[in-house]
Amino acid sequence: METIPAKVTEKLVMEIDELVKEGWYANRSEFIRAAIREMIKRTKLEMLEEAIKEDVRWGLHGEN
Amino acid sequence: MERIEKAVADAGPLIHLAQINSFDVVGIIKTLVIPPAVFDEICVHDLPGQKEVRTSPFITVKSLEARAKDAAKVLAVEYDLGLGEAEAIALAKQEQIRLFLTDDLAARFVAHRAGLEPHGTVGLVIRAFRGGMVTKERALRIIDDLYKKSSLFLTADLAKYIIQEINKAKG
Repeated sequence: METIPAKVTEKLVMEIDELVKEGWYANRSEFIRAAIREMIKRTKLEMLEEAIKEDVRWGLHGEN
Repeated sequence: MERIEKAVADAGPLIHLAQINSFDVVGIIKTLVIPPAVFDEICVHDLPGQKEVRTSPFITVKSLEARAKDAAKVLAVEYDLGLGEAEAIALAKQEQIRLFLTDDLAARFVAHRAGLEPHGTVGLVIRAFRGGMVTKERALRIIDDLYKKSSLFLTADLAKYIIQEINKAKG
């Protein structure tokens, strides 16, 4: 595992700690890992969407 | 029929079209060039498309020169690409062929950076429809089959979007 330093607002830290306290996540690190995985998944889907739209445009109107 | 002169491809689009018995769509390209790693990926490992790749009159396997081979290795390591994708990009640069066919997002990103024009299976099918090679009805069926039966990753929303756009188009 690697440690990545990041600045986080107090408000966000409080919200994370609340979710940990309520049992949603074992600890802060687990929450952050879950959040990162979710963002990667969402970003990849957005990239896929953009790629498909680009392909549709090229297919219908592109040169070459 | 309006055809595309030349393109380089990695294995993805060839496999996806073969999986749904629509490999003939690749024929919208007059000359499709693939590197040895893509040929091996499909033919040596007996993947869908191996018979078509071996017998297709419009597919040419072209070797990489020493510099391109080195470039492919660097790309594979630096961007965590498969060797097929990396060789295909390096080959496209070597042969000065701008159009690059891939369904891999990482390969697409790297291809853009390398000054190529990457497009995927969906683009190829629609291009084949625009070029008069497949009817609108067949294009729609192919997209539906790609979504339901192939290993190409498409969400339901994206499949719906593609079908809507084809339906709106003339032809």
